[in-house]
Amino acid sequence: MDTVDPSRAPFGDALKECVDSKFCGVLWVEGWPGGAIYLEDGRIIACHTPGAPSLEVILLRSGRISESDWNAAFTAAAVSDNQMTAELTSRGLVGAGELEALLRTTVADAVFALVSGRIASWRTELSKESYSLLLSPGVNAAWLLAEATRRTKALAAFPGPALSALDRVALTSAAARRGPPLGQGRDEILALADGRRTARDLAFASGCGLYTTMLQLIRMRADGLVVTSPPSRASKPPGSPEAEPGTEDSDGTTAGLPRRRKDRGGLPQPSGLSRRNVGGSLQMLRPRSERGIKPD
Amino acid sequence: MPSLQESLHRFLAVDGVRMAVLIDIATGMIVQLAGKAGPDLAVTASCVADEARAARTALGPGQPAGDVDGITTVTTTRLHIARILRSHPGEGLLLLVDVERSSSNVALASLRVDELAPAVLA
Amino acid sequence: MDDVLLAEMRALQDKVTGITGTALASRDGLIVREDTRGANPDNLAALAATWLALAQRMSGEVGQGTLREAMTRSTGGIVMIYAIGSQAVLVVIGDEGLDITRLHRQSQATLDAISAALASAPPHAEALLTEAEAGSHRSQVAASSSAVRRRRGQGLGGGAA
Repeated sequence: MDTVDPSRAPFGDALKECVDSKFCGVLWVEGWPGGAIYLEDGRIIACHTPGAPSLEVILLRSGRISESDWNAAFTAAAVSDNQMTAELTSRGLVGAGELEALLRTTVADAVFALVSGRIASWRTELSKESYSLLLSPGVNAAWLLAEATRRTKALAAFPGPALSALDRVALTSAAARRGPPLGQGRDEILALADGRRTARDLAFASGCGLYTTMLQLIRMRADGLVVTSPPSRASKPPGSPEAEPGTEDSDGTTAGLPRRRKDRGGLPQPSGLSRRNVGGSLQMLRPRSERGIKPD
Repeated sequence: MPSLQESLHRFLAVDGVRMAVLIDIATGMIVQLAGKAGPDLAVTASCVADEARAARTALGPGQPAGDVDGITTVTTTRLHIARILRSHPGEGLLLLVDVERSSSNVALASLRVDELAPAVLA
Repeated sequence: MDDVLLAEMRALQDKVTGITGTALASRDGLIVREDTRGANPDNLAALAATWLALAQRMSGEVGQGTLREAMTRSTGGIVMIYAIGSQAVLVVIGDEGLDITRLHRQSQATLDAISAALASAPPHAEALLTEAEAGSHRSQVAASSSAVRRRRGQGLGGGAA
């Protein structure tokens, strides 16, 4: 059984160091899905990852903002060196409060995707480059990690094996026989599930957040409408441990994240990389008491 | 333009309001809050989001009667006034205001919340 | 050969986050293998072959050497095409979250493997190229690069000698 010492989780350390040193720049993360965390004065102002839909995807797919309006705002922001957020609000395309709310939820989703996946390595890059769609001032990193832990626990509360964003989703025969529309986005997900699309793919295909999609999937799995299966051994990302079927289940002692099994030897060990359970790094930044943490 | 924190802070000026929280309905996440957060706020937020979703389900798929406007919960000491501010994208956003019951009543508290609510997402 | 080609295409899709489909076409626009879940394979193949030819001519025209890939980026995602030797073209379709960095890193191995598989397979009706076709393509490329050299010699290429 793999044992994890959260106090020695290097990624959590790296992020904590960025926070404590009021880092301005990018924390590039290699992994599955990997991504980048952008910080200003040690606070998270943006997070990009292939693992969760960006705000642009959410806004455009839902029809909240039209493509032409978006493109016009984008162009204007680029030309005048304005922030995209300012363009969107000054054009009346979205309220400032609503935009801030949407930015917070998409950043939280991206951080969740990044830290609940696998983290292989990371590096920091000092940068004053300005990116569009920033949260300013940024969000408390500890709060975002606590939120990611909360989400993982919420998923783990459902019956069955832990759900990963990489799991493939297929319909059951019960789904094919279902009657009236289920509502709340479920029908769209069921229409897209084809046995190969992963939970992450379904999030993008339906234009909804990763966590939102995973919640819907795990509820529908509990209702017998879908089945999920981990990616086949052959298709596992390189460097990942060879888990045997059925051993991804958490033993309940961590936040329900898939545990890495001890290396049986033969797998290359990149230097300086963490083999710690990512759950450890979440715990690293979670303070002794979760009470009273505000998003800020 | 005022940030979310500032618009939520305005609710604290209302008699008896202890806290105002903006909640993402689909995820149960606390988007922003102002005021005194109890230790169980994360759980409360998640539950209120579930209530909003359950209320929507109760209205039927497609909600021919329109979306849920709000939910009011009354306990012996407190009032929880919840208002759905947006239904899209995702499942929308919900405002939850926690009011000391001894300082107010449902009608008055709802009135004040409804006055201030539109400015939150503006 | 069937299994090898599709297996390579699927392996790439599994290794890179965000790939939603792949297709393999001959240089003359015929579909060889497709794994796109819904796109019209014949249209894809025809477009990919034409696009690759144009893209290679463009890079030749501006003297930029061998084309690596050509890409479209749209609001709904990305399409990449890669030449497989002189025989075929690989199409990679990705959603808005395609991990382009990882695709860059992983694609070469896939291109090499597919190229090897095509080289070792006996030609048959569905597949690809005749020697004549390959030969005609090579002389096309040679013609366009010598055209570039001639223009430069005439002083139209710009830049000091």
